[in-house]
Amino acid sequence: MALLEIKDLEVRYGRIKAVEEISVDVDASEIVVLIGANGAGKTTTMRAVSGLLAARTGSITFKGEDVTRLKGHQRVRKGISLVPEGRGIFPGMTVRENLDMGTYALQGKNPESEYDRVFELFPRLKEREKQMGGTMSGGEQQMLAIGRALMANPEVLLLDEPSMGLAPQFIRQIFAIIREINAQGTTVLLVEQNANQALAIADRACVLEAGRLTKTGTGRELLEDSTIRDVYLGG
Amino acid sequence: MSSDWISFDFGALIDSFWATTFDGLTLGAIYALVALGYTLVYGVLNLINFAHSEVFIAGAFAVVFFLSALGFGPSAPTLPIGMLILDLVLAGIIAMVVSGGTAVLVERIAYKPLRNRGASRLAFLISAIGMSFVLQYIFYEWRGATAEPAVTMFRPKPIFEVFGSIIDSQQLTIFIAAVVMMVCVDQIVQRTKLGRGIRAVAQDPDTATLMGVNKERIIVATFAIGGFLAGAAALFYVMRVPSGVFYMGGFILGIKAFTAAVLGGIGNVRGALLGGLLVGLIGNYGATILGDSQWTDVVIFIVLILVLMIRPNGILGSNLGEARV
Repeated sequence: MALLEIKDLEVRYGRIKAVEEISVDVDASEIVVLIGANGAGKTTTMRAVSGLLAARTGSITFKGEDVTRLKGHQRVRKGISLVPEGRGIFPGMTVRENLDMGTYALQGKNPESEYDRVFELFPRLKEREKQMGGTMSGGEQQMLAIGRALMANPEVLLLDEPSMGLAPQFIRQIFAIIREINAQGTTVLLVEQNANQALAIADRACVLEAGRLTKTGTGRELLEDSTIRDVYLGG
Repeated sequence: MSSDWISFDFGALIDSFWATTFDGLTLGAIYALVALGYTLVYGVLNLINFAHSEVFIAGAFAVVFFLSALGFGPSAPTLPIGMLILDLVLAGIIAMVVSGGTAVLVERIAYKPLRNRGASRLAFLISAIGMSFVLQYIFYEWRGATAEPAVTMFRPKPIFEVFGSIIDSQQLTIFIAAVVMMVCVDQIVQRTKLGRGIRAVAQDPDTATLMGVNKERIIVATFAIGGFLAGAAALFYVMRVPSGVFYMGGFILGIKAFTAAVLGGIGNVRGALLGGLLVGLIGNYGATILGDSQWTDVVIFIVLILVLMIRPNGILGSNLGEARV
């Protein structure tokens, strides 16, 4: 049984279908990547899995439990954390306060080990502990967003375009850290436009086009697929 | 046509400057308590809850009814100080419960159904104004147009003299109690888990949800806190203006409190305190210079318009999101 099962997911905005018939299984300790162009439905899928958007039909099962009807704030308690597109840093909170927000869902548990883990992955966050989230650079904000999501100690970490708008050295660093997080035992579902680097770290990958899955395979298979190379990997 | 309908008497302000100041700060503290309700709700929902003025007056009605039932009337009662304090604290608690309950009821009736449907901001605004009128005219049908009989809580006694002006027990009670409450709210917002939830929803509602914040619960709590503060303000309002409780009373005070919230920076908790005190002072100075308390509102609203023109984000700026509150 997969850790996270998305089955026949359909999401609409009003009468417009954003995604339909999306089925993805994510096994424990895998990295699964969704690639696709702008508007293909990647973000919609992630928001539906994390509970920010309601599924119209289909189901989302996590650890064998149907979570389709759970609200977003309940899903994080189950162990699903999303790092949203655009990072979602609280601009008027310090780095430390942003990280504290990550522990909001932990009830009564001492998160000290989580702070240690996050500061080890992102030493820069420790240096910037008292800085306001809104005044950080894009790369630092992305680190903070990932660190904050890890504070809830999720079993599956959803990442929505973590490389968006970042300088190349930051992008490399972010992908290295995603690998590291995965190596530490956290399952990852990653959405990316930056297909090259995403597929390189993927155990399995799917291609989304106009709201539907058109291709699935291992990361290597898709990297070597000629049509995908033409469309997503710049030939 | 009479030519002396308006005259400026700066001498009057100079003569009574400190007395005018102390009274302005007292009124300002009441405005600030009500302003906090506007500001907190604006912070989490980006909505001006125009029915907040009626949330406030509901508490004021509760104070009058409760104290009348205890035998309070137009002249100050002769009670031992301990009994008096007990009665006033009870009246305050009842007002806070009534106002808090009204605020939550307004949220459930006027805003939640719209939120569930994903309505436009205009729909919320119209619903807010409509709810304000509905409550106002319920009070009107129930109690008529005339003010409730005055309830005097105690006769203000001079406490000490500053710059040759007396500060009395009533001014001191209102100012200290109001400021203590506002400091408490500020600390709740800054330091508690509930406060973190409120700030998170104000700054980024979707991300707050992703952190495990139950947005609906935060919204209800925010309305309740705003209502509690309005209820406390209602007690002090009746203390200061014993015969000011009638169906329109909330509207008149509420719009000044709204001005205070905008002046300080809507969505900003400390801004509400600053704005409230400033509105109290400006209104009082204006009325003294112009020689008639009817001018108070004119002066206050001229200030509101000037603020909106020159500094639309208010003195301390912007909202819970950008300002650090």
